[in-house]
Amino acid sequence: MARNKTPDAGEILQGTLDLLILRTLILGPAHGHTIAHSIESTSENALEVEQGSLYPALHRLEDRGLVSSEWGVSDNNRRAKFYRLTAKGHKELAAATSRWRRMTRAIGLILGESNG
Amino acid sequence: MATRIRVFMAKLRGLFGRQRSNCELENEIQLHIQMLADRFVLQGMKPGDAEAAARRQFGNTTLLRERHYRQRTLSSLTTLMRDLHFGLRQLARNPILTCVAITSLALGIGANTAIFTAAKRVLFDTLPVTNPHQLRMLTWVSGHELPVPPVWGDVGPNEAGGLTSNSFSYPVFEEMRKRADAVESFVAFKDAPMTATIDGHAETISGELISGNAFQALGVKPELGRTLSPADDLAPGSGPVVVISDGFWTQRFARSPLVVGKSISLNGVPVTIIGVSSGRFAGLQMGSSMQVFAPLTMQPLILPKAQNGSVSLLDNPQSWWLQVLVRLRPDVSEGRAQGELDTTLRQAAMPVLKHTGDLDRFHLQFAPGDRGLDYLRAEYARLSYVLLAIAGFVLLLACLNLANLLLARSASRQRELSTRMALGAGRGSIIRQMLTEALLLSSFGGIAGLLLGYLGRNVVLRLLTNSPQPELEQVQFDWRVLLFTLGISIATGILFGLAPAWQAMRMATYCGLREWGGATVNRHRLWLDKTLVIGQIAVSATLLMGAGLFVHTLVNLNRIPLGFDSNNILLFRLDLPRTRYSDAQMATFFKQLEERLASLPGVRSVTVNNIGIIGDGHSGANFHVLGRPKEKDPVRVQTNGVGADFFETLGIPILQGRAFNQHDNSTSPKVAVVNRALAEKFFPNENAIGKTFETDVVEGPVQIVGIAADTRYADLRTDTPPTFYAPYVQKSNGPSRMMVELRTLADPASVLTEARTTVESLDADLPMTDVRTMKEQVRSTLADERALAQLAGGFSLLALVLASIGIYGMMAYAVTTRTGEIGLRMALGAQARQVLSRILREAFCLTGAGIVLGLIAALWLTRFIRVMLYGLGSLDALTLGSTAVLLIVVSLLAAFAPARRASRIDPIRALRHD
Repeated sequence: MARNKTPDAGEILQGTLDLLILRTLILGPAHGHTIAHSIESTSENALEVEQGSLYPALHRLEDRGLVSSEWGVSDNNRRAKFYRLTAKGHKELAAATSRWRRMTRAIGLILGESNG
Repeated sequence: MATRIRVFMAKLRGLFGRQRSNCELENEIQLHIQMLADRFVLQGMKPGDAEAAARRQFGNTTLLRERHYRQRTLSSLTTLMRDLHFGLRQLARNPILTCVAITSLALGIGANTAIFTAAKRVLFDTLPVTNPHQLRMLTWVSGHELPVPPVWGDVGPNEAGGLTSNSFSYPVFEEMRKRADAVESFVAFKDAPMTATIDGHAETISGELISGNAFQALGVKPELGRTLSPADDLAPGSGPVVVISDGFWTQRFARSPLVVGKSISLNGVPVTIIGVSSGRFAGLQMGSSMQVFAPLTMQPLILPKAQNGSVSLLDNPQSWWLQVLVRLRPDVSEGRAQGELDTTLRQAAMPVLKHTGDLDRFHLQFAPGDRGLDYLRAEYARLSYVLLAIAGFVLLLACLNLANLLLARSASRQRELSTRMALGAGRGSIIRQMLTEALLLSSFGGIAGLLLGYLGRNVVLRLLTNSPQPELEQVQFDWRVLLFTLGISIATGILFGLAPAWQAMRMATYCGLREWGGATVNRHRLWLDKTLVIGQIAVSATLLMGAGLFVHTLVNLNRIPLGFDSNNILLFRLDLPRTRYSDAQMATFFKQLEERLASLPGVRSVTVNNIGIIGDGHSGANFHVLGRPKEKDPVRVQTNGVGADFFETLGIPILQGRAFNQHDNSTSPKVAVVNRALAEKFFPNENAIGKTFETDVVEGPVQIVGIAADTRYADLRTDTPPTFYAPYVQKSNGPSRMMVELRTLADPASVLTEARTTVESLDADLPMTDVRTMKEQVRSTLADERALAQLAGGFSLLALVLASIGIYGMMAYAVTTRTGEIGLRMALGAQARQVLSRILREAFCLTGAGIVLGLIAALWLTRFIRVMLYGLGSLDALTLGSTAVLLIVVSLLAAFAPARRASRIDPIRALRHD
């Protein structure tokens, strides 16, 4: 199953999508479109969420009990599935954030050294 | 871990709620695209363009659906479901093949299930008590000289060349019981037949005297009332109470709750029923169902044994009669417990031990106790294994047959398989599909077989229990049987599924779509097929050979001259309770009985004897000819105490001298009649008549007055042992338990009613037991042999049918695939007759190879059943020859139809077809 998409600057680093979704949901329940839109606009369009991986990611998080979902009505009166962060999700978010911070710091250190 | 379980649950949900989950995903996707489109419209696009752009931006929805599907299902389970579904369709497409397959499997598995159910009881079941594996049976071992006084029970040789027994005296038991720190508990018991009189009706039951603590120690609860307690077992005769078994309660009292407090009598002693024991507990002897449990201390009343001037065995250190089970303590090692009890036994027994040289070889030894007193395994183990092996062979044959059938079918499915492979199916998935189908078949076969086994679970036992072993009849159909059936079903499925799977795999290696049906594949396939057919014939030959040996044995046994006339004899047994009869009274009773029975119309003569002539066991006695030097060990022969008309009634010819008569009574000189075997052994070159001998069963010297012809004695197989007959009135022990024999003018059953009335007129409380004709008695001693011959015969017929199906299938397939070749031959001038004989010759060769292999296997296996055979040489030519002929005839018959079809092939059509 060959991937035919070319890597692109805005593509999200593998494994970080879960973190971004969890972070977005901290603001309150949202459906898929809102989450994608929110990530894109918050990152000032630097990150583009590939729709094809958003839903699998959401379902994966749901299976792991980090988010829960329920059907509700969206702003423009459409039936939509809203995802909500669970208590376990909150914990995971905190842990993942600190992991991410440690890693970026480490990578930053390395990059800083090699540059200077 | 918790997360994993959640993920798994989500997958399961996905599996079963796939419809809903898919629908939700669809909604989600649609909504998303809709919202994107809305946004594009807001940004100024036309609605149509916006929609298209949104779809573009969203990307490949099919891929998303697939990913979702994979994430939310258990792929292996789905594949399995798919394979199963496909397999079921395949089976449904070939209903005849499916029926044949399931039927032969059901027969094979059913036979195994039924036989395993019976064998499990014989070989594996344990006592239905709490933690049976903690129990140990106490035994003692000694040198080759019996160190203890007379044993009421069994003494046998052990592996070390000495003797061993599980009988202990009550005083020794009491001493050991004081060593409570060595083991958790002691349970002593003694099984004996008793006469129970319930509501004025007397019957013989199996009773167990048992120590008062037994029910608590074994964890057997009362179903009703209470069980025995140590308080019931304190002093001799202090506890005239009994507990009855659940089975007896059902059979005799219809589970009436009023039974508690009811008074019955045991051997004439009134006792009160205090409770019913629960569940399957039926005493401590494997394979025997005890019906009544009484405290041990009731022995002097219920089972008085006159010895040392007292009837009580409880204070008699000379009598060794009691069986003892102990429960090990978890905190004391088995070795230490055995050591401590050994010390106690040796101290306690020392005063009564015979001071022979090897007294230091006298020790206590633990034996396994989880089956209690176990004669069942020793008696039936070999038979069980043989039956299991036969059933196993039948199943193997069914497997070979199915492998053959499936192979033929997989050949016809070559195009399908090739197509699937060309479309990208992996080799693994094809093999998996083949095995799934095989397992599907074997599961159906297993279910049907379980049903058959359940229906037939008692058939095996009924065949076996034509003999006086009715207690074997309760079979438990439990989880172990289910597990066994499940196991053999899966094993057979894999076994017969392997051939077609292997075949498919080879095909995967060799051929593509283009080549299907090529010559190489067919030749290869036929090779595998032929091997399977040879295997089938070999297994059938082995089975037929085995069955033939057993049938021949049965025929030989039936032909054995009995040495007496077994027609028109009625038998029954009477057991006079010593509680009510003295020795003299017993003799008088039987004297009167003989006279009254003889005067009945239709009765020619009557006798009693203490050992029934066939199938009633042994009775040994010392034998020393006066005037000859005494040997160190007393010489033992068999003895039988008989009535005056014994020889006349049974029709045993007197070869020399005279038979007994009315003048041989308790005061006249002691006389005996010996059989020819004894005369030849002890008086080879002289006349035995007039010689005198000493024995322990008759007081004073005994003169031989006659020589009788040999008869079979304990069973039909063993040669007649040296035996002397003595008038029962002259024996030192009163005739308490006697077999009564009536020779009748016509059908023996016709005098039964009068005989019963006569017995009741003498003693209304005396049950007549083992009522049967002499013919039935002789027949019953062959019950095992007959069952074996019938089962083996039946199974080998089944094998023959299966093998002929196999040969037919193989030959038919061979003819079909070689239509072209045969057509060519015929076009070139081959005659129809030649084609026919060629095909038949091929079948003959296969059969011949199978027979040779089967007979080699049979000859090798015969060594394991040698002791079960009778009157056959090391190579039974008759059985061997008839097996070979039968198999050849059957296989030629099976091959004839395909061969004829081959000989009628039209060369032109055949060649055009190719």
